[in-house]
Amino acid sequence: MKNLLSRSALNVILLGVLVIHMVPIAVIFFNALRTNENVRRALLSFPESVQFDNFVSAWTTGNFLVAFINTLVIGGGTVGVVLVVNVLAAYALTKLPVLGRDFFIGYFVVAIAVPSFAIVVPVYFGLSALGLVNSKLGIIIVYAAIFMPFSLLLMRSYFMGVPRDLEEAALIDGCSELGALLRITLPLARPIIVTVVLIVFVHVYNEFLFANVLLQGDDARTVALSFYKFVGRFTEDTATISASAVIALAPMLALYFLTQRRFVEGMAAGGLKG
Amino acid sequence: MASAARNTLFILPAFALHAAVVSVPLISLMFFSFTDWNGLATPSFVGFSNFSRMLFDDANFRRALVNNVTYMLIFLTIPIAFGLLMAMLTVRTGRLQVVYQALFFIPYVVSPAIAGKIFMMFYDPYNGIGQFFASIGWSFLADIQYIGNRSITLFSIAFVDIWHWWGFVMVIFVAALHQVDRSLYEAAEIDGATKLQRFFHVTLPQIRPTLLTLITVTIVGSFVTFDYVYVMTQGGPAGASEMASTWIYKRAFSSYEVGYASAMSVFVCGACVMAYWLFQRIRRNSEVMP
Repeated sequence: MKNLLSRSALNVILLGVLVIHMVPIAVIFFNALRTNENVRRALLSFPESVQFDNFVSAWTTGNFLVAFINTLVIGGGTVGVVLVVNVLAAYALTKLPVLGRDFFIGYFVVAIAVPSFAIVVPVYFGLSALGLVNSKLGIIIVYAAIFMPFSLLLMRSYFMGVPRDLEEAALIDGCSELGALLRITLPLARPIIVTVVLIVFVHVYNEFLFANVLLQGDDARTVALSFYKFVGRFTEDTATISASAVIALAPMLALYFLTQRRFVEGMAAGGLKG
Repeated sequence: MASAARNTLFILPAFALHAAVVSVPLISLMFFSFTDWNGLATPSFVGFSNFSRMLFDDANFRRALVNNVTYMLIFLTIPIAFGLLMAMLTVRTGRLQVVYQALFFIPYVVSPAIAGKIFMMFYDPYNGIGQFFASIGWSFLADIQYIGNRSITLFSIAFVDIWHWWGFVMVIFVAALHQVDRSLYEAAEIDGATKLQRFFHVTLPQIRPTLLTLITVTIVGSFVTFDYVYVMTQGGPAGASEMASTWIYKRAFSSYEVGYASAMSVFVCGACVMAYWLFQRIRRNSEVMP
């Protein structure tokens, strides 16, 4: 009985923290449905009435369709580059005799520790000399390079668990190493591939620093950056800003609830890259 | 041996990509730190003058570093203590713990660009949370200038970052707590240890590696923190929330003092790598110890 009581007290405490914790997100969802006059009269309130005008004006003036397409292209491109280079590298580092193996492993371990802020200045001026500012290709290359090292190490430790016997059987059957990688290792490594796709895409979606520096034109912006610029132009219209926040946030929340466990585990591995 | 050399080709794309985007710019950063350069004209060599300006003549950079240290101290204490407390509470809720974790984790999914702007609505001096506090009669909270009052700006920004971060810290601690051998608690209980003694003599030593990892990430992260400050105040008002990163950003991209910005980047990056290396050593030493 005593245990039961303390457990319900525990749940009361946790629920209290949870409610306060969720206020900022709940508020933008509520305020997106309210009129701007009402929002400015009281920021915290349940919707007095429900109307979707804010979403219409946020969507049309915020250029979000272009931003979503940009994000998909940049995210997809980054994921593609990261997968190709990492699958090859992780396979070689775990399965094959490689000249300079220790050097490469050491290099990528140190690479994880390099804060990406350190390179923003030279990368901007380098890309601008190459004409790759405001270009999707430019930012895909940058994102792929900075999000690559930790996912390489994730894939490497997963590949270690794929038995070499299976690949050798394929080699005996006449496969090349590349064939064994594509036919045997890769299908077995599907869970880690999915995790890497997920975390790299989420990082691209939420990234701010490089997007803000490298994507200055209206037509190249990602969703998070479009929202940021949108707020700068419509400071007084809190209701429409809330609606655009919902538009920018909803896909990530949906992805989070759909993939949950894997999302948390992947982000934990990615967030502790120190 | 020939095949070992050929196998290196598998690694080359990854290595070349990273070297071109990260290592080469890092080396060029060191080169530019000894020059005066506006980003366009030919850089001219100026010796150590950027470094002496940074260390002796730039009050803004010094204030930024103080802010970075303050930020670091906030993040070494509040989110880690709160995350650990909440982790210890949620693991006692049985099956519900999965639900709590999933919900507490949500802000970590929100982009800093979005979270920062959401909280700026709350911090608005006229239509923000102050208005709400006034309406429920808590007048002592109604008139706080969360951004405008220069002595609390940094804490208002840190609050948002903590909101975003602590759920993640909690999830990490939950994973660590699940690894602790239950028999250690039973043994401690038989020996008559109090709850507090169990925490300090069983829980803390057992989660020590996780704690050290979080401390390392916090220290390194605090010196390059950028997003929330830039999104919310750009370092203002009047430099109150200036960070090394926002100051470097402005020197490089607003006033085009690229050589000087490079010198400051070298300094900050060097500090990060040293902190990282130091804590890796501490962690390794602590693993060797029984």
